Amino acid sequence: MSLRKSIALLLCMIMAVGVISGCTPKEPQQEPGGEPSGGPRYKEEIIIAVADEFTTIDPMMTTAETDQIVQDCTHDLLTDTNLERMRNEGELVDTWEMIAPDHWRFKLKEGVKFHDGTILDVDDVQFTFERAAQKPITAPYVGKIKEFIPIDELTFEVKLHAGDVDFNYAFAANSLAILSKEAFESMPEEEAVKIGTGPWMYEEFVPGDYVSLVRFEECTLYPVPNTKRLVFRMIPEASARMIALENGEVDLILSPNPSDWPRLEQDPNLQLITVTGRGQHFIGFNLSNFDSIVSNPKFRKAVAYAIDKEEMILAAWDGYAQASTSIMCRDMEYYADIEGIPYDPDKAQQMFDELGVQGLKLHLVTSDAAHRVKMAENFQAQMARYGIEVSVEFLQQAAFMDRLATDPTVEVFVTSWTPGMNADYMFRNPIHSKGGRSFYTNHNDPELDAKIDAAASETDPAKRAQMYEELQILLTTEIVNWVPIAQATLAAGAAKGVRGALLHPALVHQFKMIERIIE
Amino acid sequence: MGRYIVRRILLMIPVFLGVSLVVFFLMDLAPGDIVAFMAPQEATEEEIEQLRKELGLDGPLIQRYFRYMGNLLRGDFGMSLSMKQPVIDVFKARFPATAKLAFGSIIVAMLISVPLGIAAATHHRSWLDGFSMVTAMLGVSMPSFWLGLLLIILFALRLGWLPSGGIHGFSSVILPAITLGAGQAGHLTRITRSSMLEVIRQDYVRTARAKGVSERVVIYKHALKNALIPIITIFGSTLGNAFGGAVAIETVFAWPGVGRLTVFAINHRDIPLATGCIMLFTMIMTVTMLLVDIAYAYADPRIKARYSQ
Repeated sequence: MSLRKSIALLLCMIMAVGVISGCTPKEPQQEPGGEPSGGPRYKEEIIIAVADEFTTIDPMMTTAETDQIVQDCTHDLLTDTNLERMRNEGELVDTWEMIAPDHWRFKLKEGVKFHDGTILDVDDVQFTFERAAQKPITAPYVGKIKEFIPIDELTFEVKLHAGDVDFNYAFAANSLAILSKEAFESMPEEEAVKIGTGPWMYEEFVPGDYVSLVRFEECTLYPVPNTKRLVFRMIPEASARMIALENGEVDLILSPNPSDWPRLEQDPNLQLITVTGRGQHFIGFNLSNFDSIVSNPKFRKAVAYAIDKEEMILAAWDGYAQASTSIMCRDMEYYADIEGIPYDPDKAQQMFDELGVQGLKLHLVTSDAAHRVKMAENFQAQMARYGIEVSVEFLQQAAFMDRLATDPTVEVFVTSWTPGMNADYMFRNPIHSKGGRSFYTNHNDPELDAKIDAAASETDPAKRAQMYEELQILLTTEIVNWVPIAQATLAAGAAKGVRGALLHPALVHQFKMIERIIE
Repeated sequence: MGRYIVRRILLMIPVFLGVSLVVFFLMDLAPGDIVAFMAPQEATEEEIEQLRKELGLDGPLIQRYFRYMGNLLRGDFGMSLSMKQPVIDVFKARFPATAKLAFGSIIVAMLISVPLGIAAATHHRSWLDGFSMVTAMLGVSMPSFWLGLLLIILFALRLGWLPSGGIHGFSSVILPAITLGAGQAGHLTRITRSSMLEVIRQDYVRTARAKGVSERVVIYKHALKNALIPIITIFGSTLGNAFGGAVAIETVFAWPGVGRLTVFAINHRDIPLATGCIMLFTMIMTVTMLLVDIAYAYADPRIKARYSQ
């Protein structure tokens, strides 16, 4: 047989493989459930496919999302975001009271049992804070506390170095999960950190493969889950996660490819779960770069009028994002539905003409994350329509952050900011000149700082709402240090019958009560 | 022979030193402050500096390098910044998975390439030769990432015969091993074919045939043994690459191996883990090559005789 015949034979074989691949769909595998007869039957084991590596069960050693998702199942916080009501509520705390902005009282829930059988009390909270103060990752969270005052077994007060009317939010940091003091006294540290109050107990961790949890039969804080075992499997590739879901090997996948979302919606055996993320994706300007035209507010405003956000959303997220009108995110406290600067290409062109920027060259830096790359490229294309040439530089994330923090010649950048739910968090770190390390716009404005400080210390909610609305209008339409683009949609894919999976706008998704009903 | 082995072992020292220097300095030169990246947004400059000190990332680069090498001599590869465990423990936990995949792929590659290469050589310019070469070309040129997904769709999703990923029993190693082995088989088939072609034209093979020795004995006893020498060389480097270069396959099949671990370490700027993984890869690669060279000497009596003198 000649070479030509050999090639033909091979091509036939490849076609046969393709034909078999395209036919004979396999029914998803299901393992029998084992719960009460008569009522719904629940799958005994639920497997969730995550993209990133799980690294540690110790809440104080990590801020990585996968770690925190797992830790959220095993450990609890004093306060946390209620994802159904989208507000900060007590988790281990029953009630709290702001005696003064720098003096708070908290009362713990009664009878909360740790996995080691001990009951939560104020000593555990004090122990947790003391341990947190020793750890570099958690020390900043408890740094505000000047004095911890135990009142009785369940009540404690804290005095702060400075007033903070949002202090209840400080306890919602995942790294501040409450640990059992007695466990640390009776077990080695690596075992004691596994002991929490959550409805799931740590079972096994196979590095790079999976981490498994078993339900806590004596859980008092939550109902005992209907699922017996919860497994988080690490599958880094999105297509492989989708195949594993379709194949029935896993029950839920995080971060499916947007191209697979329609399939998840249409397949009767699957479902798509979405939530609007709390990350504000924006085009930022370095306002202290006085050699660049970006220090001119008129130019920044013109750019804001020039950007077609819907086009950018289509390019960066296949359309799965919500265009922003304010720099604040929608699910945050004190978000005001302001108009912002609408897309108006004629007005933008007129302003650019007045500024005489035809042929202007701008340099943009961003990280190599896929959506940022697409945002930057789309920005480049949109600005070209106005005769502005944008050169784009992509950097690895850590290098990008370093560049923003240290290079005064940066002009324009694409990044995002994911705040907590409290309004002050939104403004303090990236916008207040003494706020924090994300102050990349370098807009040193004492008046603006004073407004942020005043809003943060206002105790009357109505006045505070007014102040935050004014701040949003000022920043979005006058100062324009950011052009807010969008809040991207976050998604999970799940098998039919899965419920109790709550997606978190800041990515720490909650699976405490996840279950799957088998029909 | 013993002297040769000792000399080869001694030669490994400058290799390690060179690799350690390059890796350590390159990792440090990469832009971006890993400590600032790890610290929470609320952290002050003092807290960041404290964290830097605790992670051992303070002080001049040279000082850190010598400290690292000093620890390395004691078998201490440092602590992983992201895993919060000794690097050697993290590596050890992942290595068996990579070893399984590497050996599995080599078995697949050998099972395909040796018979195919011999058949191609003994049926030179026939349809079998053409078929072998096209198959080898496909194996070499098909992106492993794509082939992996295709195999998953066919054998896991459509037929349901094998799991789509993870490491759970013998069945889970089949698809990743075939995917990784396919590329290696392509190379090895071509090498086997050309090596066999060269050998079967030698006088001693012709003599064997003239003496009436059966074709099977001529091929498998006389020719193959001599053709094995270049195959062993390629086999060694293929095995070494399988240990370190299976990143795409480990990603597609969610295989918890060291390739994925190294990429994770680099992406997360986990300098001790990335440096440790690369150093350990270097060690495995050099040891593998040493074993290959020893095998090479045993396979070819002329080489053995040269070193024995």
